Amino acid sequence: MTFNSLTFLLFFAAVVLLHRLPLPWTVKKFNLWVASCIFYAAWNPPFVVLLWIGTLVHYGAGRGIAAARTPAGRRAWLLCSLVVGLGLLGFFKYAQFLLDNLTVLLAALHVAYHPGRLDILLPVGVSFFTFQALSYTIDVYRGKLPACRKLLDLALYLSFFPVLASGPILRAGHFLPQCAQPRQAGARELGWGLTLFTIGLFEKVFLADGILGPFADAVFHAAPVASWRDAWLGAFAYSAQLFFDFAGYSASAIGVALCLGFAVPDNFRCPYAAIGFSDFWRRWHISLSSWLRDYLYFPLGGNRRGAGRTYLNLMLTMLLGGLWHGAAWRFVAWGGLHGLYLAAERPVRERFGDRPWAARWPVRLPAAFLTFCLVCVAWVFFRAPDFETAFAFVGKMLLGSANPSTIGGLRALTAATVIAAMFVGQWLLRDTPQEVLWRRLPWWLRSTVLAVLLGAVILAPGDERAFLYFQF
Amino acid sequence: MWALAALLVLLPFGAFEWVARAHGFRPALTDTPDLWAYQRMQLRPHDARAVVVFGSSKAQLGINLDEFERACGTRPIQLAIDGTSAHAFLEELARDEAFTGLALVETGFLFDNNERHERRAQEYAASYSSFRGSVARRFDFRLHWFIGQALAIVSPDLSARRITEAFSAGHWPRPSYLRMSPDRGRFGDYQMVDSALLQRLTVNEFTTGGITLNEEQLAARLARVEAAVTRIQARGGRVVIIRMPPAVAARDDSDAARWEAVKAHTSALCLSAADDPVLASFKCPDGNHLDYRDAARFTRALVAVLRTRLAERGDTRLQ
Repeated sequence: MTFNSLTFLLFFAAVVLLHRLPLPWTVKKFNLWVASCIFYAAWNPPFVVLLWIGTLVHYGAGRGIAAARTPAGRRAWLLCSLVVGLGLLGFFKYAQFLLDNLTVLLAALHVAYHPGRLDILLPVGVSFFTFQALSYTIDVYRGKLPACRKLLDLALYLSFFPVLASGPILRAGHFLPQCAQPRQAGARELGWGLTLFTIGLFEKVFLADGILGPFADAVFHAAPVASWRDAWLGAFAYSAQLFFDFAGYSASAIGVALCLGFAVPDNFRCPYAAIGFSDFWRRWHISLSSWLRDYLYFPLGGNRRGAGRTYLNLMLTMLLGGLWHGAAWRFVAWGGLHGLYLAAERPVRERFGDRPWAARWPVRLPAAFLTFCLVCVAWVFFRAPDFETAFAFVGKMLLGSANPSTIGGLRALTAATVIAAMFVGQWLLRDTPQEVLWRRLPWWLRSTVLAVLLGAVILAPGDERAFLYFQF
Repeated sequence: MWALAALLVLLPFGAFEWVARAHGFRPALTDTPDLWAYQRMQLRPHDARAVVVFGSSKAQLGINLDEFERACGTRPIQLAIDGTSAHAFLEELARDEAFTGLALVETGFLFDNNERHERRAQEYAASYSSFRGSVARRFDFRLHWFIGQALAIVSPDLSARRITEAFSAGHWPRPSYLRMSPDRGRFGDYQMVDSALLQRLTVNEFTTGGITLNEEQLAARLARVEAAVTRIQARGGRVVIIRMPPAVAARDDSDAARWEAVKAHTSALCLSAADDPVLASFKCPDGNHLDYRDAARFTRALVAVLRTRLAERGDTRLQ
């Protein structure tokens, strides 16, 4: 059940109505938990059991950590949570990948090993709820958060349907306090929630699926004969598609949560207007990058153990971040490329970051565009089906190609217009929160914009596609 | 604010619907893997009187479901798909031990070697298993189905692509000569179009698009079809392989040769329209498909022939 389906609209309307009935808060939370289980079961009913097992294990681990009298006891409970969380993730997401690599490794050692395919179905959102669960037990272990007493609250935190399939990745410290008191959206929250939901749908259905996706697909399918211009336009289109797809999902998720009275943090903040890669990661998939920072980069030592260790930590964090996105070396390469970008940026920023001229727009705008172009180069490893295609494609982008351009016409012009508008729009609004901008508009203009967005969603061309980040 | 937004959406859409209907557009469904899967699910298990149609668009446009039902009391499940071969679905049906009915297999593309057709068949077959397993998807399909039957503006004739194509060609969008009913029956009104032009396009498609199986491949395909036929018939089902009214000459010559090979290698009942004076009298205006008016008469005649030929084999399911 995706946000861009009619079933979800009915489901969502029913949940909001139920949530607004004058019922005790515990009953409302229970209803939300049941709704979340139904939402998840809509993909594959047996996988709901995974959610329940995860909830019980992490609840027990949290309580165990809080009750343990010795550091060893606390560590044992944390280990239990980590083993179960990462074990499930590893089994469902990485077992085939590990087996394939083991086979290759053994073949290199002249050991013939030919296992059959495991055919393990990946549960939707497993990477997301695993990270939510781990952040909870780690925070309890670190003493940053009291162990959750109410199983229902933790169950709702781990299965809250707006964010269950593709995030944003919630933090227990942010969500659990919201479960303590009755919450119901007021007119303002409901209005802004529905607006965000509509904006998200527009980004997903009209821009990502209707315009950019088919264009990017056409370019990548014709990759062997792509020209330099085609390759860049295709990479830009895919970058824009990915942004509108995922930012659209996040906006919808935040909007849906808001309609139920829950605040979910932003996941995107004009990432393609970032100046440099550290800035990019403060703006792109914020909930993941901050998770990796807090639970991986900092524990590794962050930047406090000398320059060499800092670069190593950066690279490790980004490589694992890449692997989180998918069980394939292409994703690791993508993470590694971002690690290299961050490492290369660091000395430049230290040397020139505080110069007065660096703050002027004639420097900042080209720097933002360069960042965008390099980010697009990295996305090629996300989109290309294999390394061969990815390297050939990147080669065409960076070294040029003698092939004549094969992509043209109205479709290319439309895609180019959307990409240009996205870049300019993000640049102009890079520091303005969406809601502030929205509230500045007169009410009649807001109505008109909403009507246009809704109309575009209804008439959107293209096929219905699942959200790209569901596969992660 | 939301009331005005709703008004701003509903008014233009209401006007669009009114104008569309005034210009002859009617609600119509798009033929999707989900619609196919939904129809596939309608096939009742262990029902000897169940009738299912496989094949290409020739069967989809040529067999009128209403007429078939009127003639013998059973409404066929239409599972033929535009531009696909029936063998993958026949094999799927053979694996379904609950099927004991009558399978009408139209031969269009059945003995072609076309990667695009294979891909489409695989897409539909894969869709069926996932559609069956997902309550949400089935529910979502029903909602789309309901809306598709209620509103002309969501019909494929008024999709953004069709509108763009029409304007690119310098005219307003026009209702298509092809229409589909909710149970996937299709109707071609060839009085609305230039049949000669369509015939030229058909000839072009058959001379450039079709890839004929070589002898070895044909033997392998025939063996696969026969294995499926044997399995279905062994549990009381029946398979009839039907060759529809002749297509354009470019296609018909190769069809005739392959038809002889089919007859020689299958235990299924083989029925060629060319062998029956009534069925052979029908002409395809576009060189490949029947007009909907002819399809109704063709279906009545087909049921009569089928009934006789099945009765000769002691099969009374269409009586």
